[in-house]
Amino acid sequence: MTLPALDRTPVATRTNRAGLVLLGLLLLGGGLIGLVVGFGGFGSSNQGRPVLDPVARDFAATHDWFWVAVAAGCLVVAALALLWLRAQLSTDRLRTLNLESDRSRGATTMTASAVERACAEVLQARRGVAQASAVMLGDDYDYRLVLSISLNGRESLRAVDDVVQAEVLPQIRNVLDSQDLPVRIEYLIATRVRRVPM
Amino acid sequence: MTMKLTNRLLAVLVALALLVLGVLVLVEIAWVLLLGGSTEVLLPYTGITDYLAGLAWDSRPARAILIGMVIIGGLLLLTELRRSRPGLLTLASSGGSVTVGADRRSVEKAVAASATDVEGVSAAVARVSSRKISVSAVAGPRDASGLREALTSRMQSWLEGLNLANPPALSVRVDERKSR
Repeated sequence: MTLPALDRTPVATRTNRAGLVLLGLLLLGGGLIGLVVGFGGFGSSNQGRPVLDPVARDFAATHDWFWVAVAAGCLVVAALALLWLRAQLSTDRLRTLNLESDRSRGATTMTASAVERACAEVLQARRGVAQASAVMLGDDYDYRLVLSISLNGRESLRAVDDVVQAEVLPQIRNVLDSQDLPVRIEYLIATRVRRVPM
Repeated sequence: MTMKLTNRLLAVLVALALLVLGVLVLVEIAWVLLLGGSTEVLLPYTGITDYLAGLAWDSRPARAILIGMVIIGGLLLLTELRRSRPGLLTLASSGGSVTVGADRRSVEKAVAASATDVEGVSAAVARVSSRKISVSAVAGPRDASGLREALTSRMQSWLEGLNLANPPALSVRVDERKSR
């Protein structure tokens, strides 16, 4: 069983993919249709005609509504392009954690970066861990924790994982008062045994 | 990661181009229809339309442009629709609300490093996909008989130690060219 790589900007990734696939389809389709016309696929009379037909040019020159429609189309394209650019700034990363589920009792929040730093420090103190980082993703009421742990090769992956799951995770869940907090743990296996700094 | 970055750069460029072009065309139309202008403001559209009006579908430049469109469009579709390799190999210790995995690239490097630890192997490369782990090793100058079996056994025990949820099939290939 495998999982895709962690994506902290899923909206941007999906939007970019959809936009570029659409662009690819338009270029491929337009290019193929143009080539078919050029090679006489729509009749030999069309093959020598200009790309911008004089009939179409005259029609556009004499009908104002045509340009209003073009302007409306341009407005839609510009608005979509602006939304596409805005999607690049979106991130799934959480900034604050809401610790109070009952809003009538007020609001208690904690910055997610503080939790992330604390998690990384707790993990880095464990034997077999060379480096660790944590990131909280989601929104105020539905979040998950992602831990990235680089091993130093002094302990087996299984041994480190046992300690993380049995000791570190319950500790983090207790602090956050969320016993069923979804967690994703990513291990980076050491190629060689790394020296531990004294 | 590189693919994601390339996609992002490309997306920003295309989106900016569309935004600028859309606004420029809007300005030109508004200038002519609303303000009664008769000349170009920012976009040299007369030159473009004159060029297209003189360009036949079967002309060489038109075909070159169209072939370019087909190639770029095809490449874009191929790269965007290609199935990406997994980022994480799930470990058997996953369960409930905890998902545990080993980074695919680090597994590839560690498998290759473990393979070179086998006596008689001078170099090794590993490739991991969701279905298969392929190890290609180069035998050293000594006799390479039995090396493939030794390497397979070593790799199997190494992978068992990893405790993967669904271990991919292992394929080991030994290149003996240099040992001859």
